Amino acid sequence: MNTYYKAGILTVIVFILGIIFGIWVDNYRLSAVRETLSEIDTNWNDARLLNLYIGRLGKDYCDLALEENLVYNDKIYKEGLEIERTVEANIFIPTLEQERRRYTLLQTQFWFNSQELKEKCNFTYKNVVHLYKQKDLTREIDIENKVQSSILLDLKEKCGNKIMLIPLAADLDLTVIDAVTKQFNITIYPAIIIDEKFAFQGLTSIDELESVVQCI
Amino acid sequence: MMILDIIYFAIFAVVSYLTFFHLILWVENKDKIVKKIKSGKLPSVSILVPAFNEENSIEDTIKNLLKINYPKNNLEIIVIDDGSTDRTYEITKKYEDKIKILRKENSGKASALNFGLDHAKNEFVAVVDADTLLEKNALRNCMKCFEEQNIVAVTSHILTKQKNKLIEKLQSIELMIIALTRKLKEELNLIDVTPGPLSVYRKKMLVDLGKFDENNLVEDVEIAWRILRNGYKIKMAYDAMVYSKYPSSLGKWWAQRTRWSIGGLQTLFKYLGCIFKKDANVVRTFLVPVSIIDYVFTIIGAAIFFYLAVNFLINNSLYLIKTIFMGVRSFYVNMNYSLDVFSVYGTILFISSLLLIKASLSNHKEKSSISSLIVFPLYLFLYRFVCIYSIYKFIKRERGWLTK
Repeated sequence: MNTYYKAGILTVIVFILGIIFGIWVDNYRLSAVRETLSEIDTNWNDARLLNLYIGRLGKDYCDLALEENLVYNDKIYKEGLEIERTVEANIFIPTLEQERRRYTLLQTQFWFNSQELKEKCNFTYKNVVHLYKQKDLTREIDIENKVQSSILLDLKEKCGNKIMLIPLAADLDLTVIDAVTKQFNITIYPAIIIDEKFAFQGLTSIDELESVVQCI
Repeated sequence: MMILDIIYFAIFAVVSYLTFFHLILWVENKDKIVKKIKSGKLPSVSILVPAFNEENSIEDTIKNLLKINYPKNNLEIIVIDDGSTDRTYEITKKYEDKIKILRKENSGKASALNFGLDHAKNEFVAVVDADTLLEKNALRNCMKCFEEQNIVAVTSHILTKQKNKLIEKLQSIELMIIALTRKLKEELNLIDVTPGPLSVYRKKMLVDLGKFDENNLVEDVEIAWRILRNGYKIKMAYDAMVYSKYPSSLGKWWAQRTRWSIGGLQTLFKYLGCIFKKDANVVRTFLVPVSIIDYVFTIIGAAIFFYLAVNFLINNSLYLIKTIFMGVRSFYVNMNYSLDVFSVYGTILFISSLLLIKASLSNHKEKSSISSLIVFPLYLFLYRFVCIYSIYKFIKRERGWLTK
């Protein structure tokens, strides 16, 4: 067999092995995301049951519930980043549409639970919901999303546990998110809803947010 | 999968094919590379030295040629002064009792060579650049390779002794790699250039083939393609060492490589038509397709590079402006690295290339510094920009020597 064919066969072998490896890595990352989502789901059920327990047996467990909520908030935020990383890194299974929807629902559940807990335990923290678009992004919206995230990270650093930061993708065809955007007449993204009362549309500065959050 | 991913896969497929091709050739032929050929008869050779404004180097070259280990009665040295405006002719004149000196109006290297060819009396002609020094046995070793009648040309092993500046060190590494890959390609009769520092031709066949193309900027590439296209062979004498001068500044290097690259395009376009013929000649089956792919991928690669670079610059500038405008302190920096199929392909290619580089360098006594080896990929990357610039110049039909 001549060198031309040998090189061709070797290239095809390496190419196919590479693709098999690529698919395996993509799947591995996807499995990891799914596993963490399942774990968060369990955590969510735990937090939800704790909330029910507090509703029935009194407020002695409010601090514990708050602590759980904060841990959950942190965990789900990190998982959001992990999903985005997976979407960026995956080549053969890139969209993860279902995982994103599942993640957004978990975040929404967390938001509602956070409202309920606040009412039951008379907590003063503020729920800061960041609604953003993630599909068909123009350069302008993509940059504004990132700038808004940076502003919210600044706010979180300033306010600490006095705010619950909840990022929600608004364009995943989820009825509950559509209902929220309709209720607050949100048409421009990114948008921020604070404590289910104030809604900001478009890029919002830290000063504007602070004037409502008043965490200091 | 994005369109960019598909392009990356295609680029990987081609680059890895060519890398594996050379690796396989090396594995199968490494013992033959440095194999000495027994000395046969030493036929008469006319050495052609074209010179245009070579006052700084011509004397050394003449002295060197007068000292080489080759029967003097079988050797004719012809210096062709191609209308020099400096002291080249005066310097050459000092040796007129030992060499033949021809003088003509300036009309380019190929024309000077053809002029010299018309005056050469011997069976073989060796082309030697006016800034090249031959090792004592270089010509003798070249002549040993003319074992068969259909071998029309034999090239040499070109190196450089200039290794002070980084650009010189990088060219030195490049020359060693080229020498090995060229020798490996000999097995399949794929030597696609008979370089100016030292190449020897059968004179009659060279004349029959139409001599050097005076309209081509790289007559040494064009004649090699013509030899192969006509079914003849080119060999390389790996033990025929010659030392040539190479650009010592980035500007000169850029100009030289641009000229080579434009010449490469001229050659490619000259032989492009053969791709539609139905024969198994290597020019049609390998050289033309590989050249086309090389230029096409260079253009696509440059387009992707500029697209990504411009996107990166615009996005980050806008992000920075907006964050400053909004008084943000936390910056979003995406420094995440994730393992993917391209990392694996990249690693395989990197290791394969390292093996080839190691094989190339291991045949030489001189050691290359680690820092030069680290910078070498950047040098190859920069060369892609030369290709892009050459394509632009070629399209604009701006030809010329581009060198002083």
